This record gives sequence, C-alpha cells and structure tokens, in this order.
Amino acid sequence: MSTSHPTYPSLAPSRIRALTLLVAVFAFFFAAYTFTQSGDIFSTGDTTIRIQIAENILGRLSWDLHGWHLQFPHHLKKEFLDPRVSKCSQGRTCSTYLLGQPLAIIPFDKLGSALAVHLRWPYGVTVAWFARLVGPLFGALEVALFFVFAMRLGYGLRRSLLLTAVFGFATSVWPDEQSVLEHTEVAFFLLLAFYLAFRYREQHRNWPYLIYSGAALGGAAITRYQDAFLGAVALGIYLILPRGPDRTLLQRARSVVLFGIGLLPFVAVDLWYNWIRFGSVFATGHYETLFGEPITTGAAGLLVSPGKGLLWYCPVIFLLVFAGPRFYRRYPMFSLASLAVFAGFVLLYANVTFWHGDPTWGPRYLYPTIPFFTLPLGEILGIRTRYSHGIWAISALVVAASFTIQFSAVSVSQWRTWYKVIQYEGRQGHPWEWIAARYRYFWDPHESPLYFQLHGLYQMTYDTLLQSNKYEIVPPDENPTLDGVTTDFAINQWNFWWASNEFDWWMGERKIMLGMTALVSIMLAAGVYLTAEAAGGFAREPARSPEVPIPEAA
Amino acid sequence: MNRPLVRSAVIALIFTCVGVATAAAVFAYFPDPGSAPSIFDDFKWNTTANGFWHVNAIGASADIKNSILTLSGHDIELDRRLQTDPNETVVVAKVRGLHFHKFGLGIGVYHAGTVGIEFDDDGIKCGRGSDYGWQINYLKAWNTPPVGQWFYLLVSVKNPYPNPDDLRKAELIADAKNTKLKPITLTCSVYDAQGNLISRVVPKTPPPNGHYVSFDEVFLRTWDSPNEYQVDWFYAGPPSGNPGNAIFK
Repeated sequence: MSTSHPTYPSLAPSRIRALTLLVAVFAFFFAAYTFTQSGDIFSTGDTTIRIQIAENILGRLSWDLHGWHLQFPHHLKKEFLDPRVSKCSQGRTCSTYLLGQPLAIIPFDKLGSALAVHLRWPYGVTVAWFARLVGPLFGALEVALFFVFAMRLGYGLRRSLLLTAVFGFATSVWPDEQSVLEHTEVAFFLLLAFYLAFRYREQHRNWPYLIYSGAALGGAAITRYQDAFLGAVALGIYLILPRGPDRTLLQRARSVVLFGIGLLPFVAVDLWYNWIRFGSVFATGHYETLFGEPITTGAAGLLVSPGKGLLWYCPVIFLLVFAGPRFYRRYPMFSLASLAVFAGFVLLYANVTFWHGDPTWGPRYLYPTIPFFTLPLGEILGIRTRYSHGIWAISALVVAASFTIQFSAVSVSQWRTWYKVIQYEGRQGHPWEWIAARYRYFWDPHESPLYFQLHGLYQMTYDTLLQSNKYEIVPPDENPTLDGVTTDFAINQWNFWWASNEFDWWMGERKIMLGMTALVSIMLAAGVYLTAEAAGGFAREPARSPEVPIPEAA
Repeated sequence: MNRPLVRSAVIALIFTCVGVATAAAVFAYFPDPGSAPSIFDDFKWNTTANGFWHVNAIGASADIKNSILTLSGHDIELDRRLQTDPNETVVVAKVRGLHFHKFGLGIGVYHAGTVGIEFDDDGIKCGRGSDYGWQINYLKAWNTPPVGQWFYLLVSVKNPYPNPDDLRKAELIADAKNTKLKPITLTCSVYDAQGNLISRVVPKTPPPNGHYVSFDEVFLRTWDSPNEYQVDWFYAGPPSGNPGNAIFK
C-alpha cells in the first residue's frame, strides 16, 4: 500500500472549467425536469401539507397549520386517521412532517406569490406550481452531485456524462423528483454525505470533510430522520472499516466523533422542532402503528413484487451483475457501505405497515438508495473482454427498457393507472376504498401499475398520433370512485404542465410557449457545452490527453 | 478540421441558446395585455373558441352568434381568471332563459368555493359557501319561469380588509385569540330589462366564508339537465367600470 498521496481524478483542468461543467449539468437537468413537470399540482397531498407549513412559517412564523381543526369521531379506527397531521400544543394542528422540505419550498413560494401578482395569474395555483419546483431543484442537484461523484470515481468525462444521463432519465430518480415528495431531498443529502466521506477516506482529504459529511447528513436528518439514521449507521460502518486512512481504533473513533459533530446541530433542530410542536423532544406526533409488517413480506414486496418491486421499477439494477464485481474490486469498502445503506433501507421499511407508501409510484422509500447502485454501473463501459460488445448491447437494452418505464411514469398521469387498478379490483368483486392498509394489488401481475402505465403510454400515443379518442377513459355512471378519478385528475391528457388544459387557461398560451422556449434553450445550451467538452472541443492540446489512470483503492 | 473554428461555432451556438432563453424569460415577465383588472365580453368575437373563456362542457355547448352567447344542453362551465379590485368587485351579466333549469354566475376560488347568483327554474337565488355548507337566499321565486325575458344579474363582493396591513394584523389577532376574520360583504341584485331593481339581498346569517384575497376567477355555468340560456354581455371588475351603471335605476 502506498503511503504517498497519489493524484486523484479531478473534474477538469481548471476550477473555472470544473465549475462550468457542474453548472451545465445542473442547468440541463433542472430545465429538463422543469420541462417535464406534471400538470397535476393538487394530487400529492403530502406536498400540499409541506407547502402549507412553508407558508405558515413565511407568513406568521408559526409551526402549526393555521385554520386547521382536527376532529376525528371517537369510533373511527386508527387506519382511517391521517398520520400526516396531529394535534399539537394549545389545541392546534401540526404536521408530523419535518422542516427540511418546507424550508426549501419557502423561496419558491415567495417567488410564486410575487409573480402571481405581477403577471395577474390566479394566486393559489401559481404559488402551488412554483412551490413544486423544489422537486426539480433537488432532482437536478442530486444528478449534478452524482456526476461529480462519478468523475471522482475515475470514470472520466464521457463515461461520467453517459452514466449521469442513465441516472437522470433511466432510473426512478426522474419520477421521484416529479412527485415532489421529500425522498429526492433526502437522496441528495445522503449522497452528499457519502461523497464527502468518500473523499476523506479514499482520496485523503482533510478531517474537516468529516464534519462537512455529518452536516450534509444533517440535511437529511431535518427532512426524514429515519433515513438519516440509516445513513448514519452506514457511514459509521464506512468510517470504521479497515484499510482507510485511520490506522488505529482511536483514529477511527475520532473520525466518527468528527462526523457526529457535523450532524449534531441538525439533530438538535429535530429535537427542538418536536418540542415546539408536541411539547416533548421525543414526541413525533405519530399515533398510528408504524411497525408490524412481517419483514419477509415487506422486503419481497419492496424488491420483487410485480406491483411494487424496485427491480421492475428500476431494472438497471440488473446490470450490477456485470458491474458489481469490478466495482467491488476497486472500492471494496465503499461497496460494503453502499450495501449497508441499501440493506438498512430495505430492512427498516419492510417492517413498516405502510411499506408501499401508496398511492405513489413504486417503492418510494427506497429511492434515496438509487445512486448507490447506479454509481457502479460506470464500470460496464470499461469492460474489455471478448464479451464486451454483448454486455454493452444487453446493457443498452436494459437501459432503454428502464428509460421507457420512467418516461411512461412522467408523461402519463399515474391516476390513469390508479383508475385501471380500481376498475380491475372492482371486476374481481373488491369495491375500492382509499385505505392504504387494504390495498391488495401488489402481487397480481395483471394489475401491476407498471403494466397499466406502459399500456397508458401506448394508448395516449395512439390517440395523439391518430387523433382518435379510442382510448379515452369514460367512467361508468354508477361508480363514484372511478367518476371521481376522472373528474379530479386529467387522466385523458398528457401529464406535462404545458399540455394541460388548465395551465392553458390560467397561464395563457403565450406564456406557456415562452416558458417552453426558455427551458428548451437552456437544455440546448447546456447540452451543446457538455457534448463539446466530452468530445474534447475545449481541450488545450490538439489531441486529448489520456484519462487519469484509475487508482486502486487504498 | 479547423479546431478553433469549431470551438468558436460551439461557443456561438451556446450563446445563441442562452440569448433565446433570456429573451423568452424577459418576454414572459411582461404581463399579458389581455389580463386587465376588469373583463368585459359582449360576445362580438368567438371568445369561447379563442381561449378567452376556459370552457368545460359535458353534454352541452356554448355558441356565439349575433353577439349572443347561448349555453344549451347539460353541464357547461365558462371560467376566466381575474385580478380583483382591492376594495370591491362586481360580476354582472345580461341574461335570459329560453329553457330554464339551472344557470349561475359568480366569482370564486380556483378549485374551491364560490359566491354567485343562480337563475333557475324555481327562481333567482343568492348563494354562498359558508361554515354550514352551501346557503341560498331567494331574490325572487316563481312557479312559471319568465321564458325569453331579459334580466340583469349582479353579484358584488366587498373586501373587509382593503389594506393588506390591516389583513395581516387581523390574521395575527385571529390567530392569537382563535377568532375569525371579518367576512366579505356579499350583495346580490336583480334588475329587469329596463334597469329597474327587482330585488336585492345582503345575506349575513350565516356569513359567506370565502376570503376576498383568494378570489381569482369568474364563471358562468349551467348544470344538471337540458338548459338553454342566453347571455348578451358579461362584466367583472371594479364597480366603476360596470356598464350597468348607465342602465340601472
């Protein structure tokens, strides 16, 4: 093992080039994710509650939900109660959600409220749409960070950009950020914490990186403390594992303490927030039964069930068969830590009664782990054996299939799929109730949302190209649930905001065209720059210098 | 290949794209000239087809012919976004029924509650959302609806807190004392074809629970079964711009 510090892969020859690359990747994905934002801005109740929290903080520096009065009849069973809100001090109503996402929403909320008045747009809907830009923001941040991580892993610019495109468009990161749930924010902070710890451990950065890493995980801690806990366990393992820069047990303990110092202020914020809402630092406001799902059932549901399994929602995982062993040989301890993150998430959420997180797209609680099994895939393009072409061809097919799944999830209203699930259940003699504990579609391939969503993509494409209404969904008169889905959500329209009839009404056709033009132009500018960089167009020498050799792990 | 030339071309392309994006953003920042604080439609143009009205029809149609809007059929809703006047906003229309069942116009909140006037087969009613559900007060009741007769229907809403600072203070007090904000003042009036006042109500028990600052759309609608109503003109905005001011006595 070498004791001298070797040169580690850098982003670019100069800081300005590195910064420009980073800005370009971020700008491209922020524009792309904003361009593909959903027109359905009212359906995610979780986000609506977080917007309310942000507005209460912004408007009256208050932590409760102003004007909400919780009144549940005494005979109501727990499964009917809403775990997202709870009675808090002084008889008020508070959300059980943490501060992370509402704090990030505040600037967008403020921007939306100013633009609504300036442009004379309806206030509520404008603010709601701008507040939802927090999804694309953290999606783009996560992807940009992923790109940096890939570069630091030594994949080189071309491979890193290709891998980043796969990550951004062919994994569940895309539909996840479109949902504007908090998992994207958690994923970003978790990845950032691991990136900083990786830089300390594998690339000999100084000890402040450990404090930064702890602070980065703090961002996740004030968003979803349970996810941050799992991340802290995995990071602790990573720092303690042998073959790192810390030789003795004492040095490793010092690293864990430094990491904890960075995390501590955010834990304090969580405890204070519990206290100010519910009167005790350990009170979370949850009254429902959180744990109790048989762990094998939950894990199988999260990983392989036809209706909810991560393997089917994000099939690029299969490519780990090719990439995993090579990546492990290069970064064994980071691989183990990644595995610890993944195992932690699966084991915890498999035991949660609400493991499916419905109604939503796929196993959303596992989405923060996506970067950890996508990063190793960069190895595939480095494979040089007589089977290389076959492996690349298979990989391309899997990536294409995974992209199609993600594209169907963002382009077609997921409520169209819920309509089909409800309809299917009704035909089987099971009248639908919106009670998560009673959903039963997970193990029947015939009613898998994946199947319905892909079929929906085909149907919408058919009707659009042939200008027909062959696949327009018209609910039966006697079914109020199905009727409700068709009237509450535009399931017969493309899901993009610029294709929405309602946006056409309140935003105006001209503004929509200008918005689309701006976003596409940003994508083009960033895309041209990244392509030129990848092609060596900005290299100083006429011939591209060879890529920095990939270092073996310490 | 001439490397500097290619590099210059790439940079030029990037800056062109950035320029287009900037220009689009600047143009988007200008408010639409069509979004004035008041709206008036005398149906001289096909405003249901050109996007001025957002039309949502279920088994119904909205036809504009000879400067008259005819709503016929089952359910139809015409919405138009509106920036309210800080003090008071009125919604007025000249309307008649050729086949009465259910017709309404008013002002509301996007995806939420409304206040309005209903021009139905059993009479004219002033309606509002309240803490006790939807409430109505009759302005005029009839057994046989006056088919073909023109009326002017007017809905007025007054802002109890025209000064935003007053609203903010009132919200803080309501927050601290767990009380409610002052309700809007809703007035519904109906005039005959000559502009004579037939009836007016200012419903207060229970008061409307819509918040003035949240009103952002006006609407015309029919619902429930075959209807045929005609609208000669429609105005929404501050009372000073109401064309009915020249007619109403």
